Amino acid sequence: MQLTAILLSIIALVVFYFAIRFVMVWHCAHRDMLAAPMLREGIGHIGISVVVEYPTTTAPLLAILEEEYPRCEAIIVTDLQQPSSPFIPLVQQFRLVKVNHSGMQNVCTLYRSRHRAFRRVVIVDIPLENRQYAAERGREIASYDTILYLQGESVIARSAITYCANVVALHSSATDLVMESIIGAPSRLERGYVADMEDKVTIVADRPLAWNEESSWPLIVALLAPILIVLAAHFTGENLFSTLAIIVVLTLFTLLFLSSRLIVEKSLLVTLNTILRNFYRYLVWKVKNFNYLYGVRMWKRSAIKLPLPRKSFAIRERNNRKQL
Amino acid sequence: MMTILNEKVVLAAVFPAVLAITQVLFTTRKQYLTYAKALCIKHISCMLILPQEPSDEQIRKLRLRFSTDTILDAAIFVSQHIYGNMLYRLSSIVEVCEIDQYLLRSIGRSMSHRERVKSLSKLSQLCSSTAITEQSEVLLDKEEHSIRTYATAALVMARPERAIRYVARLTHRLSLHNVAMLSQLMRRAGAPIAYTPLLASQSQNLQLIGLYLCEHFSIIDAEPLMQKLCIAEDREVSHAALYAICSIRGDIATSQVDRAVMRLSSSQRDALIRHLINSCYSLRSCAHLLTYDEQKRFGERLNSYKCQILCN
Amino acid sequence: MRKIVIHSQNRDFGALLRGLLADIEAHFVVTTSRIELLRVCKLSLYDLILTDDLRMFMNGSDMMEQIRQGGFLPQIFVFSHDLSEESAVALLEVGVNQFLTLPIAPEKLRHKINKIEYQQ
Repeated sequence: MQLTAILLSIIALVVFYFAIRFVMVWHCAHRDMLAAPMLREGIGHIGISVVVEYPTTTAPLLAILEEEYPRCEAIIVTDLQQPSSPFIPLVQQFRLVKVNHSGMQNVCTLYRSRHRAFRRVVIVDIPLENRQYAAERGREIASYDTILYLQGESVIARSAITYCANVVALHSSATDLVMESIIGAPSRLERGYVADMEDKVTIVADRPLAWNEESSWPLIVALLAPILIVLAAHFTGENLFSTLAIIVVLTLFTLLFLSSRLIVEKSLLVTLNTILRNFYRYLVWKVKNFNYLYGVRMWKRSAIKLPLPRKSFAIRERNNRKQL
Repeated sequence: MMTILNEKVVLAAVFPAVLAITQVLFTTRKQYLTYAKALCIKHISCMLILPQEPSDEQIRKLRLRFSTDTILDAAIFVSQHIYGNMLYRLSSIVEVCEIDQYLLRSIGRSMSHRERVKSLSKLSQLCSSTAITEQSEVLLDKEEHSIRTYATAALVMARPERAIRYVARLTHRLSLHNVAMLSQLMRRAGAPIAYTPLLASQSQNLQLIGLYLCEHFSIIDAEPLMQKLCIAEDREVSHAALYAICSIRGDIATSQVDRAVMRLSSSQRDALIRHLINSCYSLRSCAHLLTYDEQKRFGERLNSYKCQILCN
Repeated sequence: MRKIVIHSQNRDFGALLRGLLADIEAHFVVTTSRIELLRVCKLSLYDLILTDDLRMFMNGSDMMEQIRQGGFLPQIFVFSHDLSEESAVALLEVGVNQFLTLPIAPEKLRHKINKIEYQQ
């Protein structure tokens, strides 16, 4: 039992260390991000196309239509062959018409609206079996050069597009850039298309660009964990469990601190739930990355070059190391 | 035994308790701040429409009722949403409540670069007194580009008649965001600006502002000057001029435009294709600028905006 | 007496308009949500609606038809930072009476509102 407690305490210490690193990554991003006023009118020719892949509800589309920034559009990639698709009635609602798509492979139909008020709505019908081409087709169809990719049920955060446009406007027109957020639903903003990731400027956003309707299991685990550890300490009589409980509580307070720093439209509980989920993804990536780094050291002499994992946190950590 | 049990209970319950308290505190604080700001905005806007100038006593009552931060946010909001003669009354309110002094003190006090930039950008949103000018001018000589940019913005708002001179003093190149912000402030402050001297200026920043204004207001008469700027040595200016010509649907069959397009990278050319389509150019008018593959992409993209009409 | 609705999901903008129009002789109602706006419009007939929520007319929810029902047509003035011609024309096509860009001149706004004919 003592051994178990020691092992768990070591793991908890490591998790606490990574929680602090996670907050530091956010802090570096926050320090570098926009301190300037947000401009609400259109900035020059900058526009943002939002590509949403296979949402099951209309909420992502409606959220994009609420966006104030004038130059933006919503490109919904969906499979309209499914009879239960919620986007079929929208064809009539937004007065969408079928337009030409002859040069685009894997696209069954492309809809745009003739009505001036609904020009932002674009629906692309790509069957689910061809979903790997969704992002590429979205990029081809986009009216603007800067594209924000969202997955599934991600609903764009309030004024996220205005924020993205302001950030893009801060960089030179010759710069191809990528922006991701370590908080919130997975999302990725890209300007310019360059095959090699190394040539892009990478930016870490300090606020969520999109939210997901998520289950509350991270929050429930966070609330129950100290209680279960204390019960274990009480019934086993092992004092190290109390130490473990202290470390877990400190970790949770670190993440609560981060939640309270975020200027978001959601409540503290929802934000904390999202941050716990993001932290979980960060830990999983760190574990995988640890294996990768170990592999690189082992094979360094044989000059086998392993490709960088194309995951969001690789960019964060690289930036973090440069800044810290 | 009881002490150990109490410690364990505290450990188990501390996080949920702190979470609940923080949630309540945050919600209450957010509601209070929202309510206070809205009320302050209403008071300020009521003062602006009074038939006579608001007295210092009336303005000081505002200071007693609301915190400095609330008055600051409210004044910035009002300043962003109105223009005209009433801005002078707003500047009296700002002066009597010493909001601009408060911001200048926080600029001097704060060690963090980000906080100084934030305070300067807030100062630039207010119609502050000319007394601030001297103190803001000192910041123009700082090393950091963002400090200099926002100090310039604050000065443009305080002394709009010297706006061009302040912008010309900047030695670093402004980003599109800064150009948009400065041109917005110049318009709001009523700075005397004309596109010809801006476009003909030697300063790249003034050229960028001129191009931005011409694009924004679709000034067709500025096209000859824009065509000249297409072949400017500075790539940013050349790029901005190219986009401005496309936005006003100018003539893209000129040698200057041709040379500007040749200088673009492949991703910039792709972006330009999208911009040409958005500006309603046909494939025939753009064909001379594009390679065969680009023409094909242009055609496909342009067709994706059209329906196929079947005639019987 | 004129009846005016000020609708904004941003409390600050509603407060600004309410303050700038404080001395105009009219009955004012301030709403902060679309549901509240519809409820208020159904309960009573209003001469003028001032709003900065232009997206409610452009999200496919047929807001205009719901506001203007029963043959009564209140004037609708929309405020926005958006200066693009496309948005302005789109709103005018939907049925908005005036599209006013921000920042506004308070004197001009008051003059426009005073010119509106009293319908009831």
